[in-house]
Amino acid sequence: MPETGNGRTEVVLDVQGLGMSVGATAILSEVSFQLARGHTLSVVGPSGSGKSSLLRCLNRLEQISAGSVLLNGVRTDAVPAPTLRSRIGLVSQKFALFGHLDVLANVTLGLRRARRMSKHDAIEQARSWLDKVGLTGLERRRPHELSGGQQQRVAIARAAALEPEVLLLDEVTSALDPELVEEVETVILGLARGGTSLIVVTHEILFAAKVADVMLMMESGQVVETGHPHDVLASSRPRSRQFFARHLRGSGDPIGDPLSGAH
Amino acid sequence: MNAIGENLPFLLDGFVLTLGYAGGALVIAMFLGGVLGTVDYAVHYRPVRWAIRAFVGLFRNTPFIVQLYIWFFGLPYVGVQFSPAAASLLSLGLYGSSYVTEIVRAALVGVGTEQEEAALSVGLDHRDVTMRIVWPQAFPAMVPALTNEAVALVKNTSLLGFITVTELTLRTQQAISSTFASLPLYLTAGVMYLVVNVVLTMLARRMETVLARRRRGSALNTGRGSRTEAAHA
Repeated sequence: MPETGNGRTEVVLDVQGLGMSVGATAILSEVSFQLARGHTLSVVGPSGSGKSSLLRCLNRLEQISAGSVLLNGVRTDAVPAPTLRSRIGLVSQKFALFGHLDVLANVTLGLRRARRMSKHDAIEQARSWLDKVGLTGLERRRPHELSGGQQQRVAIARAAALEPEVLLLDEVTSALDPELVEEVETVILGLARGGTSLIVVTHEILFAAKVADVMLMMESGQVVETGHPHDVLASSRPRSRQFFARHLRGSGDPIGDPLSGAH
Repeated sequence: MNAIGENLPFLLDGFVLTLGYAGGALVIAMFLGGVLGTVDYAVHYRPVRWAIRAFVGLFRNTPFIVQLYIWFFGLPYVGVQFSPAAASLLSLGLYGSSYVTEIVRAALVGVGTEQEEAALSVGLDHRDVTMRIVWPQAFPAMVPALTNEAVALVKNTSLLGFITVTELTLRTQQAISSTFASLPLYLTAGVMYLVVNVVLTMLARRMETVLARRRRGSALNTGRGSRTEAAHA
């Protein structure tokens, strides 16, 4: 656990009482949590519980209507949006690679335009990240020539190459064929272990438990459980139990011991 | 047949004029329409969008000939006198740009929010998102519609004769009034318009093929790819 000089865990992202509404409808309310630098937070919960909206608020694709988000102690709404977004990366369910650019250019674009890197440095950094996600040799391919899993890994490299303070992953495996899920999950585990501060929204409960230091469960736009994955999965709250039981059914793993699971 | 031969140089002079007006108006229409379509797509400030909507609505929903008459015969009523050439280029250019604005805007919107948000998420500003992500992907979709627009524009030059521009159609009529060879001369004029528009369409097809090939990417230009790579090294 990375620690500051005074021995306390350093908080990279501090979310306090965050609320978001569309018209009169509250999508998120009173969401609070902290993310320690180098840690991974996983967010689970039923569809429509506000998980994706939360991530979109964090990198300001959506505007919050209450509360605050602090990145390294600075309110995110005090920073120009493009600067903020290059420091809080977001990878979405639909990879949305830039179809007119090859793989390498997909990754270098943000480095060149947002980070103002030289062409040489951007290419070097992009290659290094493409290597980390196992895509060396595919730099000159176009996105449509790649498998879904490869495309999603490019999308992750594109966001991670900016070396953001926090990387948000929004159901990055849910659009993939089951046999491609694992290669992407392996990349995410690599990022988590490599010290990237991650927030992972996923429907894969076992993976959420395996990758995270802290697990957060949402329902109807509110945080209903938070804690170590073991504790959250072992919650006695009836609706949480029901949710986990439904999502773990058929996986062959007993609810109480998810970390010895299939992966 | 004699009538055609005798009048051919006269008609060809008109044809050259037709090409000149069509070319000039096309440049205006593409440039102005490209700018307005992009602004309409990218700027969310309401008065700007309303102004563009009003421009498109006005110029697209009234007949070209009425607009032409207003520029040339109408405006002198309030003391503004355009030469036939200026009135022709203005009216054709603005009329065309109202269509091009819509074509460009629709194609830019068609690229979709996923691409925009992905680009915003790597820290690009709105200008970069529009120019580096959305435009390059929207352009291939614009080409067929813009070709139609160019073809329509060439044909609309045949109305410029009404304000005394001696383009191909007016010259054809003048030649007929002295020779009475109506069918041969109208057919000759028709063939000339046909040739321009067929060539235009063929060029556009060619461009679509090239764009599609570039879009398909590396399989077809690995040579180019490895050269670029060498340059990077």
